[in-house]
Amino acid sequence: MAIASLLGKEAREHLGAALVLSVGTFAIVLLALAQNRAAAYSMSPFEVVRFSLITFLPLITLIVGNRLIVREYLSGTRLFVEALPVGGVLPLVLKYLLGFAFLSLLSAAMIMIAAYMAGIIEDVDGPYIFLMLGKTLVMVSLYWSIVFCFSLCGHLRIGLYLVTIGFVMLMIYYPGIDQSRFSPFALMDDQLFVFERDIVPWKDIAWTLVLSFAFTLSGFVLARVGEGSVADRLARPMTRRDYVALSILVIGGLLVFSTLVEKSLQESFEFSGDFVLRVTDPAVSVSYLEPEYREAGETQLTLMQDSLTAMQARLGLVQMPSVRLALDADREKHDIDYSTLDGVFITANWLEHDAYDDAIMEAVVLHGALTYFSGNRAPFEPYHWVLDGFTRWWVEQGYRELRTTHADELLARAQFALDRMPAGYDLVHQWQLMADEFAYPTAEALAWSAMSYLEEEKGTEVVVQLAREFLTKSVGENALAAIRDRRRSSVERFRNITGLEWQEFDQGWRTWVMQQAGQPSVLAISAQIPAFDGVVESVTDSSGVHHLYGGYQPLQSATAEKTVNNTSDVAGESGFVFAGSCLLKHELIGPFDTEFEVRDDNMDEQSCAYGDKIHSISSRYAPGDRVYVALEYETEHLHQPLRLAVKRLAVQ
Amino acid sequence: MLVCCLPRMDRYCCHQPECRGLIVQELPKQGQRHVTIGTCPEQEVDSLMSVMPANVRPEATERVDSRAVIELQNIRKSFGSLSVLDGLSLSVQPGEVFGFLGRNGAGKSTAIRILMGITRADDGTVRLFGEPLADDVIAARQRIGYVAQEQNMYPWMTPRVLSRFVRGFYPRWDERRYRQLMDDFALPPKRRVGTFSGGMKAKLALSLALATRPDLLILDEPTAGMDPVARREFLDLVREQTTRDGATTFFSTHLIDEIEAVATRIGIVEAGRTMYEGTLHPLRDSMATWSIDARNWVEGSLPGEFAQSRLRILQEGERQGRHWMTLQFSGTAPVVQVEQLLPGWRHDIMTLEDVFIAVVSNANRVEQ
Repeated sequence: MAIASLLGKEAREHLGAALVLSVGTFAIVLLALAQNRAAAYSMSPFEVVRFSLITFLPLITLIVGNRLIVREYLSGTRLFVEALPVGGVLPLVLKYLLGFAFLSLLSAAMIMIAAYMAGIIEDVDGPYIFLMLGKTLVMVSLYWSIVFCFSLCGHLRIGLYLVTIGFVMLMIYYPGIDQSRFSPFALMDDQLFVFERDIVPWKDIAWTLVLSFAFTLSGFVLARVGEGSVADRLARPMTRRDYVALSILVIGGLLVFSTLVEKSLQESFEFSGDFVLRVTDPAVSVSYLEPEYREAGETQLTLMQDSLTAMQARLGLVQMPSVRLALDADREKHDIDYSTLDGVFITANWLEHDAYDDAIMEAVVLHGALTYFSGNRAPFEPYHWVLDGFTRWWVEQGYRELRTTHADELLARAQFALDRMPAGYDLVHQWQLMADEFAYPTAEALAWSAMSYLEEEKGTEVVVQLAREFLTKSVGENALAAIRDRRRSSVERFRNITGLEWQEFDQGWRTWVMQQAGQPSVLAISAQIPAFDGVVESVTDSSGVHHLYGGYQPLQSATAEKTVNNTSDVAGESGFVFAGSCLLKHELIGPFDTEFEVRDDNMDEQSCAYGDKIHSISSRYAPGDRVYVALEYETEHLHQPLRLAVKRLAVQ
Repeated sequence: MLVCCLPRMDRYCCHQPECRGLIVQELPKQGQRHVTIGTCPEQEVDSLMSVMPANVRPEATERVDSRAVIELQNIRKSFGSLSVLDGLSLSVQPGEVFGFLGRNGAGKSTAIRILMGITRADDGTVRLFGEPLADDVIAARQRIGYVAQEQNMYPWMTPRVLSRFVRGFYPRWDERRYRQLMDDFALPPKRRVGTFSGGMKAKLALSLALATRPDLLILDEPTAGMDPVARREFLDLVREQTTRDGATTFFSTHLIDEIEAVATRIGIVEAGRTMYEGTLHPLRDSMATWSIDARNWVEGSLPGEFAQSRLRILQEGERQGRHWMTLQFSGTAPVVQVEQLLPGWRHDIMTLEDVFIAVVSNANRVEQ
């Protein structure tokens, strides 16, 4: 009865406010979602949830804490309840649970709305929803426990909030602190929060819950110290001294904040000096370092300008992001660095490029430009293959004649991947896995072949339409239209544009690639690709030294038999040596790293042969490290290495 | 706590170190006077009795009724270095209206918070309805109607909503009575409590307390902040309702006229200790004040030949050019004719307030 009375009282007191808050929250979320849909490039609806968690959910938590706890203490009504026949802790426990339940429901509803609006496009499934829900509720528990604890600190709470905000700002803005590496910030990481699907961040969840528990416990302890007299005393109105202290705190905080913001702000980078080539529309600049590299720089400038201008016109884009190419003469020719935070910034060595190498770099630039348009989102969406395929297609045949030598190599790569692709893989749902397994050059060749098949089947315009639909189109004129549009899956959108059922397209494309691969010019390249598999082994010996072993064995899969030529290369169990080189690349990765590529810095190059320990490395890795290991085959007949195997190892 | 039968009040007890500050309770019973040795530890009573005059009847020693509604024994409570209750003891019998009198800061509210189980005593025993309070605080509170000094009811609630909230805590809640009281007190049931005057809030709190059908009604300075008319009205209501219900009432106040209006027995608390526990009139009758022109005052002199019957000088000082002294006698203060006084002495009238001040001043003097 006492519990019912207390709950009834809370309901009568706060129901109206709770409804207003809920309606307000949903209105804001829906507006944000609609805005998102209408934007030139849209984020995932789950980004809106993250945005809400970071911005107005803390404010709502503050309001809830203020209504449920602060008001009770400041107005002295706590003393009325205190004299009733009820345990001292029960009213506070109920308040805690009510607050948490309300905020959880609100957040869960936000997740559900986002899930509803995301639909199949985002590859939303049960486990993903649970993961989002779990992370969200854990964050909500932290917010609520902090507000709960601070609310019991009376007028000191304002100072405590300011200190907390200052601390968070320090974490975010202080150069050198990567807040995404530790809890609770890691849970809100801009990449992982929405995009992580497979790994549950148990450690971050656990730490955040520990923090929540600590704050909650502190709140209850505070409310019971001196039979609650401490919380009672703190609840008294602020004195002048408190106001002065608070003002000093605010001013100090603002000074620190502005200093940190100033320190972290980076102005848009522009090349300076004499060795820079520029065009303004579209904005492309090339830094070529030395006078003798000017010609090569001019070639790249023209190439990029032509390509970007043509793409801008064809896709109907208002403005392309600025593109900057920086020459680094010491790099390998295929070692291309690019970032899309401030336009497109490429660091590469193009001095020894042939046309194929130029096409690779051009595709990277366009990939960067369209990624920039998608708010860096496209590489994480199920339509990633459209981005990869379209950019390479554009470079190869979108605005110029197809170069057959390029097509041959790309087809050979595509055939290599299709031969080894596990059953059931398709471009939409397993694109990231394919890119991981075969590396970008081969994945890109697959996507290019899909675009080429589509072009052959439906014409060039359909390919362009597909790119517009997925990469540049603003969808939804209003919230309802946005919601309707979001309900369509990427497969459905594909069908609407191309008129093809996905299964039909998928089957047709595979057959087409295998047919194309039968051309003599393609077969000549395929013949240089060995039919073997790579095997990686991680061993720590009795003296505690860790070893990485890489070896090769004949391809075991049934699909290997389909390979037209290269099975004949497997001459025997041992003794056969290919003309190319076998590479083992390895790199330390974090718990959430999802790299598909590994740098060439840590590489062991050996002559290819069958055996378990062709590569033997006494590694520098310690127990607990996660290591990304890739085995690749490099031959002069292919411009880029061919990924044979990849593995993420946990060193024991 | 022990009760001894003494033929007369003797000063020995009060001079024992263990009984420092002791005010004994006197109850006329079968021609004898029962003297409660309130703060003497039980085990020391025998030794105490041994030093008393022979006419003290130790065989009459008896225990106080263990079924007292309230029984506080040697309660101590400190907040940090500040000692608020320093061995408070008192006992309230069923059906009594007990006036709990003390100055502001004397420890009345703390004692009530301890009684309600809101605050825990550092030391001592609290028994309510014959049971240790710590055994079941919630059950004890369900038998208590409580009117606090400040009414902290939810301002957004109406009396009707308030009853819906409060009734869930009290199994014996009587809605009909609550409504009757609301009518009697002319309280609007649908108006928000926040718009009520102080007097209306106090009446509402009393209605809530009485609607729980309490065995014990605790009123903690309920008239604080009320104007004289509202105060009188409220006290009349308390008297009327307590008479009707027969509930034991514990009425805390610092206003002696309120006590006089409602209490059957009083306890005076000062500096966290019980200074007096008993009926009001014997206390008042045991005191008298005399004064003399300050210029004629001779150190150590008394207004008359009271040496044999004097218990102690409670208060002494100078005011408006006259030296005055309040004496407390072991029995009723002697009626002294002017001619029996030494020259220059005059008998001054003592109000109840004077009596209270005399008691608490004496307590402070003993403390110093």
